[in-house]
This record gives sequence, C-alpha cells and structure tokens, in this order.
Amino acid sequence: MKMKQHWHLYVALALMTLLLQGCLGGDNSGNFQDTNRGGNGQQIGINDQVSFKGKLYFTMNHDLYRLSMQAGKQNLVKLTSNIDVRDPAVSPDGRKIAFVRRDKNYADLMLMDANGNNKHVLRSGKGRYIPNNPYPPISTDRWYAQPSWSEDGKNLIFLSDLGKSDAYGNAHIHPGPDTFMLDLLAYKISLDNPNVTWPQAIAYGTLGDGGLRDITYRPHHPNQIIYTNYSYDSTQTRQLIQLMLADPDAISKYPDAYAPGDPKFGSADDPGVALTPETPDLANMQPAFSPDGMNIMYTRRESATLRSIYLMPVAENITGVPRFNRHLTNNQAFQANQQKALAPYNQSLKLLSKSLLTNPIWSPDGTQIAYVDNTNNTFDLWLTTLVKDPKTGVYSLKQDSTIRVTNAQGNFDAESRPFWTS
Amino acid sequence: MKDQFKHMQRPSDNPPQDANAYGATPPSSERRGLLSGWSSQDNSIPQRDSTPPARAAPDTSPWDHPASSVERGQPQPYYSTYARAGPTSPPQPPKGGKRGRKKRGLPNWARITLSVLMILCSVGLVAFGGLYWYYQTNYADALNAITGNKVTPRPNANGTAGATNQAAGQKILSGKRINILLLGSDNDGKKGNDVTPLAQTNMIVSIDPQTKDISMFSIPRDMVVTNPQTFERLKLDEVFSNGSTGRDKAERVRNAAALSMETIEYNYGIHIDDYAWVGLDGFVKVIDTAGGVDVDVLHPMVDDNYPDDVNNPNGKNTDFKRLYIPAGPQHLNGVEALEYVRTRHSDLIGDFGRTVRQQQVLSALKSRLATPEMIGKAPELLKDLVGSLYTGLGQDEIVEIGNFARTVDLNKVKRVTVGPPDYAYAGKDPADAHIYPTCAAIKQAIADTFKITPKCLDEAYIPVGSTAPPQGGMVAVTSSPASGSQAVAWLGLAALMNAGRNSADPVSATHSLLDLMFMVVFESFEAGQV
Repeated sequence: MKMKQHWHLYVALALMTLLLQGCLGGDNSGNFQDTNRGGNGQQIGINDQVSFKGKLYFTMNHDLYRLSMQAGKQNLVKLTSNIDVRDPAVSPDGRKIAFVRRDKNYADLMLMDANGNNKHVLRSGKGRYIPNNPYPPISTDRWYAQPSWSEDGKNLIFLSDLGKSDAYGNAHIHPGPDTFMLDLLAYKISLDNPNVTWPQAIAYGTLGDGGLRDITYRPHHPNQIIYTNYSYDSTQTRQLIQLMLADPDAISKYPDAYAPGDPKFGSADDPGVALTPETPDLANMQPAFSPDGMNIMYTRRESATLRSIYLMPVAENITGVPRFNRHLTNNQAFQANQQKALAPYNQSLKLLSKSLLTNPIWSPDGTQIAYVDNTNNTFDLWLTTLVKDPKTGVYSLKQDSTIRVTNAQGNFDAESRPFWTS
Repeated sequence: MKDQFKHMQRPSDNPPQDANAYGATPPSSERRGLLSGWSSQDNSIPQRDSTPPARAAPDTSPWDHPASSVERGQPQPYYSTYARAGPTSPPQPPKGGKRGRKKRGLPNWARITLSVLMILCSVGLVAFGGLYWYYQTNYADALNAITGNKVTPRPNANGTAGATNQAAGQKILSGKRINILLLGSDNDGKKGNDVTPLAQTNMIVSIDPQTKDISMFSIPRDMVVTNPQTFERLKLDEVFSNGSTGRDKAERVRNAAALSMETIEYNYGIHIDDYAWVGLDGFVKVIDTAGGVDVDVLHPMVDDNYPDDVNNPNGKNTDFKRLYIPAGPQHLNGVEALEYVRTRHSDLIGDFGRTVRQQQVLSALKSRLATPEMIGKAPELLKDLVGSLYTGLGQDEIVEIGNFARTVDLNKVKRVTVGPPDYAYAGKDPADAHIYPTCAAIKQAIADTFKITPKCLDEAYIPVGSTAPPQGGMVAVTSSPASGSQAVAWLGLAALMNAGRNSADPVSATHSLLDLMFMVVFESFEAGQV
C-alpha cells in the first residue's frame, strides 16, 4: 500500500537516474574507459565495446597512440610525447613508423621503431630567414607531410615544398604579386639514402591552391600513386579538387615534359590521370585504397556543412601512356586512358554522410573502415563494418555496426591521417 | 476522591432530576456546616436566606456544570450551589473549536493569498538583489571599460564648437548621417609596441539612417597624410601610433583615435562621429574562450611571410612566420583561426579567398557561441574584449547599430578602398611603402559616399613654416561609467529570459561588441551579420 502511495516518487527517481546517466556522458554505443589525459587536461576514453583486428595509429593532441585488442580488451599505448607528431605511417613489415615532427616554421621527416624507441630524423626542414630587401625575407625552411611506404619497404614518398628552391639551392621567389610557388609537391626517397640533396619528384602541383595532399601507393601496383590535387579553374575563382593517379617515375623519365605551375596557361603540366571530373566546386579528396588495390574510399565536400564517404572501383592500366602536353588534342592514347580512368566515377557508392567526416581508412582485411567524425563539437575516431554482396560485389555498411572508438574530449587531431596495420 | 466524571450524563440522554445525579454528595448536617461555615448547633448564626438564587442564564453547553435544576427553575439548596463550584466536569469542547470566543480578523483565503504574495515579494527582492549582484560582478566593469570612451570635438580656432552631425541627446540612428571610424591593430601584443601600436585598419562605416544607405570607406594604412597637430607628413597607420599617449591603455587608445579622427577630417573633410578600436589578440582570446572552432579548411594553406605579431612578445613588428594548414576538417584554436583568416599569400584569388575563409570561421564561431554552454560564458567572452576593444559608443548605441546592421541588405552596402591604382600611386622608390593620394579621384569618391563637399590634401600640400593652429580637432575626455546601469541590469537580465535581443541588456551588448570586433578584424560589414 505504501508503494502505491509513493509511486510518483519512484517514477521521478527513475527519471532522474536516466538523466544523470546522460549528464555523465554515457554513449549509446558503449562505455568509455578513461585511459589517458589529453593535452587539454581532459580524460581520453576508449570504448570498451569496440572490437577490431590489427593496430590503429592516430594522434591526439599531437602525441602518437597505438590502439589494439589484447585478450578481448582495448589496449591504448602512447608512443610519443613532448613532440608535435603528424601523419604516422607504419612500414609493411610492421617494424618501423615514419612520421612528421612539426615545428614553428618547418617540419622534420622522422623514423622510429614500432614501439616508439629510436626516433631519428630522416630529413630536416630546418632553415632560416634570409634578408631579401626590398622584398620580404626568404625562408629556407621546408615542410614535410604525409609519408607513405612502398610495398617493399625500401622507399618513402611524401609531400614537401622543396620545389621552391632551384637546383642550386638558391631561393627563387618572384617579386610583386602576393602569390608564391610554395605549394607542396610529391617526392620519393630511398631508405638507403634518405638525405639525398634532391629527392625524386613524383607528382607536380598547380600554382596557388596549396598543391597536393593524401599521397599513397596503390597496393600491389608499385608503379602507381594516388593523390588529391588542388587547383583553381580558368576564371581563378572556383576550385577544382580532384583525385589523380600517376606513374611515380613519369617525371624522371620525361623531365622536360612536366613542370609545376598552372597548366591552363601553358606554363606547366603533370603526369596525373584524373579519376574524378574536372568540375568547378566539385571537391573529391582523401583517397584510401582497399587492401587489394581495386577500390578506393574517398570523401566529397557536398556543401559547406556536409561531407560524404564514397567508394568506387579504380581502373587498371591507365597511367602507362605519358602526356607531353595537356593541350595537344592528338594525344589520343592519353585521352583514351583518361576516359577509362573517369568511367568508374559514375559507379561511386555513397557510404555515409556527416558534417565533418574526414580521413577514412581501410582495415588490413578490408572488412572494416575507420574514419574521423565530429559530434558535439569534438572529433573522434569511428569504426564501421563493410559487407560485400557475394553475387553483385556491391559494398554496403553493415547495419548498426557503426561505433565510436574514442572519447577524446577535444584532443583528437582530425587533420592528421590515421593508419591501420595488421 | 470519588470520580467526578463517573456519573456524568449527557443532558439529552437522561435529564437529571436532582443535583445528586451530577455527583454531588448530599451533605450531612455536619457537612453542611462545614461547607457553609455555619454550625447547625449555633443558634447565633443567622439563617441563611432560603430564597432560591436567581436563575442563571442558560449555558451554551449543558456540560459546563450541572445546572439543569437551575434552568428548570427549581430552588437550589445553597450547599448544592457551593458544591457545584469547582471543576466538577471536564472542560467541554466549544462549538466551532473555540471556547466562548467569536473569531475575528481575515478569512483564511485572504490569509493564504497574503502569505503567498509576501513570499513572492521576498523571492523577488532576493532575485533582484542576486541579478544586480550578478550584473555588477560579471558585466558592469567590462562593459564600462570597453564602451563610452568618448572623444569630443575641441573648440575651433575661432572659439566655436566643433562640428557634429548628431544633436545632443539624440539617438544615434535617428538624425543625420553618422560616420564611425573602425581602427584595427595587429601588433599590440609585441614587446615595445604594446604602448604605441600602428593602426593597420582604417575604415569608415557611414550610415544614413534616413535612407538606410551604408558605405564602407577604407583608407590604406600606407596613405600619406598630414598630421593636423604637427603638419608632419606620415603614413596613416603611424598617425594612430603618434597619438597614442596617456597613462593607461584606454587613454592611449582614446587619444590615438582622436588624432586619427582629426587627421581624416583635416585631410579629407570627412567628419567622424565616433570610433571603435580592436586589437587582434582579443579575437584570439574570444575563440579560445569559445573552445576553438571546427572548420573544413578549403584547401592547403601555405604562406612563407605571415606576420608573426600575435603571441610573440619578444619579437619585432617586422617578424614573419611560415604557415602550412592542411586541407579538410580540423580544430583550430584562436591563433590558428586567426592565421587561417588573415593569410593572404595562400590564395591565388587573394582577398576573395580570404573573405570566403572569414565567413567560414565566423559561421563556425557563431554556431559555437550559440550553444547553451556558451550563454553562461558571456561574461568571460566580454572580459576577453577588455583591453582589446575600445569604443566611444555607448552600450545602447552599440546594440542599436548591431540590430540595424542585421537588417541591412548586404548587396546594397557600398565599398570603396582609396588605394592604388585608381585612387593613389606609389612612390618612385620600390622600397618605399608610402602611397600618395590621387586627389581628383578621391574627392569624387568622398562626394559620392558621404554626400559632402570633399577635400583632399595631396602631395603638393606642404604647410612649410605654417604656424596656424589646427582647424578644430578632437580631444579625448575621461569617460564615465554608463548611467542607469542598475536598471539596465534588471531589465536586461529579465529580457534574457525571453531570449530576445532587446536593447542594452548585457548579453546583447556582449554579442554586439563581438560583432563590432569581427567587423574590424575582417574589415567587412558581413562579419557583423553572420
């Protein structure tokens, strides 16, 4: 009888309990065990419901972390501290990690053991400002970004603004307008001689829009690299952001045929074959090859507030014919390859859409994808499972498989490309 | 003692026939003597009057005393009357709850109503006191420090008052055209330059309240002008620095703004009614207080010569730094956000690209500021502006202008920058950053924008040997705290509960000040509208 009299009190208590759960940050996709404290003082949590194979590498507050499963439990290990780390890339044998260390005006390309030991500099970008009166001073500092391994583990490709210097190491800056050819291009070094004076250029960028990003080798295709190319259209008011596939040796084979700059004005050219259309304001970027090298995931900026992850196949044998001049209409072989390269784009499959999706990557076995997303004003790593129809070969996301991996509380570095090894 | 109550009967049950039914023990002759004080044996004792006592008034309760025999008019022996003295029966519950007393005073409903009103009044007084204390603690000092830093015209050489477009006591947007000078400095945090910063931004926002015309008239920082106080020829950004004198930063800014306003009027005939000055470090602080912004960076940004003038206290104002901002979604703190919106070397499309980036950051910032957690941070945001934002406008005026700005059709805002090649020309020495006015073009632009008879002191104007005093001018006055702040506090915070942007409430004032800062930082009227 007393329970009946106080039923409203019990209901109120139950509601309060539920509300309190919400205030404590309970995530409907699991519980987050606090394992570390981030640079902003907030606790970093890892979802105890997440399960995956292999090892995930990512940076939070520019410290490098490795997340793996051990005996069914999530194991987060901090590999670096007190240095600004970006873009980790694990060697194919799993023993080494290449990464970028950022400083105020330059970056170093670094290498360390997979356990975080033996950090050393492969190439340093440290330089200085040289007076250049009456113009602004010239900087000899260099950036490095996004290293990627060749499949045999012998070479590293990366992005850099090495190109702003001439062959003799002299500064070569055009006076007058506010635009300089500082855009990052793509280069390759051998691990046997990483500090070579002039690394091999493997892809050129276009003047004035920041250059290239997201460079990697195509798996099982040592003569193909993929990257995002940023440029402006002929009116120089709207962007063209495209995915390009190229032969990394084309420039070295035909050194007089290619140069950085702006090909629309006849001053430059590059060997890249476009995988996505050259349409103003169409922004396709951040490609990630499937482990078998036959498909890519990429992101598309749909609008100012929406981004999507797409998946599409990639054609074979489309980079073998060099293009010597973009404007030569009789370059039929190249044009045929270009059409072949663009054809799969229409088969692009949208996997998911969110406001600030970025940097998707595949699991080593091709069954899951990880990506970075922003919820409640904070970036975190997410996982979802792919399923492939055995009959049609069409991919889709497994229902209810999306799970948030981290609760980084503002510490996750969305701009730093994560990595997934077996 | 015999139980007095034992034999008590309800009068309705069995009306007693004699006193004995009420427990009175018939006295013996001896007892009678004792009771009466007489002895039956004492013949000297006078006989008692045997007249039965006067009939007592009927009692309201038959339980009070066993007086039924009296009521019935029967004679009562004295002893029995005496015997009835004292509490021979328990006190009886009165009719209606009170014994023999008629209730007076307010009815219950009135008492309850009055009690509730008293409680409400008490709560209201406590709440008012709390809100007033909250306003004073969290808003008053900051708002008073930022706003109302007026400069007023000095008397002209002939003793007449300096010109003004606005009638005294008039609302700011109710009279003639008003011109507000927006000044921005980006090296205020540098060692040695915090005292006398340059004003890189010199932009006049001109509003005609009648026609709702709005114009933004920018004068490049490198434009050579004549200092009306010294007749020195110098760059416009140096004017602000030269005028920066005083005991504290607020006074230095007031004096510097005063000289800038006077210089513009002296050189171009444009009367300036008021000003707002912004230091870029305030923008950085606001973004950091908001927790940074999450932005989809449009493309990789590279810049080898970005001015290293924020958070570089040991540097010089000629220092540079390099930028590399990767493309895609990422979190930007205050310094990074400022770099993203300011860099001009990373875009082939120059200022157009910068405008797009500024819109992005402003949208992201304002979205973050609109979250519930940020409402509570309004005092902190306001404090970020202290020392980085000064204006002669009052709080009401700022909110009024802010509300007006949000109604403006941006397509109708006129923008003029009187720089090269149409309005100015560079010197012959390529190392010389000075630019010189092309007066014919500038005068036409002034006439079109401000609807006044223009003026332009060109390169040929060199008042060598002139000792004439300046024609009018501005002088800074000590600002006084905004009046009526207490009433504003209560009204404003009550208005906050309605979530409306009413005039002069402290949260609205904070938002309008932020809008003003954005307009100066981004040199864009759109920045106040996002």
